[in-house]
Amino acid sequence: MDLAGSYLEALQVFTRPDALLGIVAGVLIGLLAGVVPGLGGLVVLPILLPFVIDLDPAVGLPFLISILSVQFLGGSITAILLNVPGTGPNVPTMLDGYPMTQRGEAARAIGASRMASLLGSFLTTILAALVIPLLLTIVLAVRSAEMVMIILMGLSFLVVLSRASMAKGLISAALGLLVSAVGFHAVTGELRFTAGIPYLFEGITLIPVVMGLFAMTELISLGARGTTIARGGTQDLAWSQVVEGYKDVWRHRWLSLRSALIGFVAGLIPGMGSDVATFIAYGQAKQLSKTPERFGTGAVEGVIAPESANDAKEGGALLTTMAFGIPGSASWAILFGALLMMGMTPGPTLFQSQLPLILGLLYVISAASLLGMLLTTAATPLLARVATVPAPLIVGLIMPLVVLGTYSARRYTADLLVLGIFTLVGLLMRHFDYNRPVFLLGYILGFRFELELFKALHAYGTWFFLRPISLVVLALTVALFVYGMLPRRSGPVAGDPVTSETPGGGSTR
Amino acid sequence: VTAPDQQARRAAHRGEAVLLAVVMAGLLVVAVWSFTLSRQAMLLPLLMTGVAIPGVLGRLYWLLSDRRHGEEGAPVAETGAGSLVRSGAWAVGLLAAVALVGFYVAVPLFVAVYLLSAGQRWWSALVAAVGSIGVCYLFERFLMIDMSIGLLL
Repeated sequence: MDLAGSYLEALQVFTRPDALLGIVAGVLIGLLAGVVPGLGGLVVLPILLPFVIDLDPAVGLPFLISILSVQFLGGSITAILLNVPGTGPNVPTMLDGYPMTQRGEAARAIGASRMASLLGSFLTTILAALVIPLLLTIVLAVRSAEMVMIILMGLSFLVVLSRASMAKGLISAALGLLVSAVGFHAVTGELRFTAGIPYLFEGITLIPVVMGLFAMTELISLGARGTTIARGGTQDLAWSQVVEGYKDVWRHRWLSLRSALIGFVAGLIPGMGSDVATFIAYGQAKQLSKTPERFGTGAVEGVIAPESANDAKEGGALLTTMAFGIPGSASWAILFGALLMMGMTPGPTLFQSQLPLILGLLYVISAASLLGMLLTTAATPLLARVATVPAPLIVGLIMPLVVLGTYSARRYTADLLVLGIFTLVGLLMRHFDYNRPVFLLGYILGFRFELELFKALHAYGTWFFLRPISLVVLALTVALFVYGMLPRRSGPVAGDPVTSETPGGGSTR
Repeated sequence: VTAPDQQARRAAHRGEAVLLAVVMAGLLVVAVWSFTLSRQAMLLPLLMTGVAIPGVLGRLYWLLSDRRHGEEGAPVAETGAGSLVRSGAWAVGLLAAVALVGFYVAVPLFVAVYLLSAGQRWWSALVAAVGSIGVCYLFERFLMIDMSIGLLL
């Protein structure tokens, strides 16, 4: 099928009523998850996995992608109105959004952030659609030897760009890969590290691992903080001001475009999470401004730039995940897991065979953003009140849902024990600042890595990595590690790239 | 860096060093175990232990060399270990209760007790507990799950 035909087919698939329903449900859940600091996609996505895996992918995937796309939109509301970022990447929005609220321009800030987000998501869809023909050419050249090196490079990006200790990143990645080795060996069928326990023969399954590492860990940490997350009243939002915010985006259209481009490129690079994208976008907006001194005091450009970059990132991340099978962040790793459970393995083969599906998901990003914009513009005061729900209420109600969700995936009580174990692992990693997304990525990619390594060794021998493309990827990986070893400037610029879904700006590592 | 900060960092470093020692022991077991496998099956575990063991040793050296303690080190934890343990104990309690008495008893019990202990009013805890039974029912009905009734019931 030609590319134009794929675009049309994608449009047909994702305008089905059930797919649209999935988008609406995803947008509502994503907004709520983003608005409540401490929740976020990392808690909500795993809980919903058991419900999604039996659905038609044309419904389940738009649902999950919609949650991913609009969670930051929800987070920006609390950042602007309450000075509490709903998610980590909303921090730069807060720097100028909240001063605007204090000045009585909350509605204008909300309008600008909505329109910038929408523009970002539309642009990322267009950019991704333009890049796809090039990516199709690249993935045709990818064989097992290249795939091994690409997986290694993807992991290296997360290890190096995490900006924590590189040793911690390496340990996390290696441990994740080792966990994936439990159970039957993919090629020989040999049992590994099971100690004769039948439960482990099929390996350690995804849902208890994700739930433990992220959902339970975040909820326990939220419970330990134990405070009401956000306080403060909300303002009445005048429509004329909201429209003024929309006009601001048009006045600063080149800034919006630049920021969207930054977000898209950041999305393409695994490990360059939304945190980095939004801070870089904010930084360039300030640097290129004729009046940089206004930033931090309520400059509308300080709202437009991060919001535009934030939404544009998702299109890039979608392409990297689907074309090369390398999820760039923890949320995308969870989505990657959902795809595996639906019987689809993201990577070059899927990218070629299911192009309409991938193109359709790009449409979904834009559609979800548009719907999110309409909903948040209409219901901002209501959503801001949601953010003031006390933390114990959230923990008390959601923790049982996590346990129910884990059990319902396979109906094994033993999965609850695995959930407990990985909760402990997640808490220890969080406490000692180890990299949980890298661990998860290692665990998810382990099976694939081993299979491709086996194929590469058989097809090309021990020196498979000397094939031209592999060698280039290897050189990039080595260069990345060299970069990682260079002394870094300290500063409050980017925070941690892999904390892109950080609830309330905390750590997801 | 103030003296209490220094002490907190050293304590954090000690904790991490103990954790890494346990990880190291596990990695050695995995490495030895790998040699009992076929060549194909041992490749990934040996490669990964080969990456992790030097990483753990490097990190341990860094943690145990006193001269580095004053420089950067572990970030200050946003929550104390005590409150984390207390919060974690609730999760352990929930998991244990589900295993012992099943979802229909454990979940509403957890919701009610947790909310009451967090200072919520008794009626809101009651409503939430009853609501959680409804959620269990929804899971059972729509996902067609036989809810575990627990080991004791």
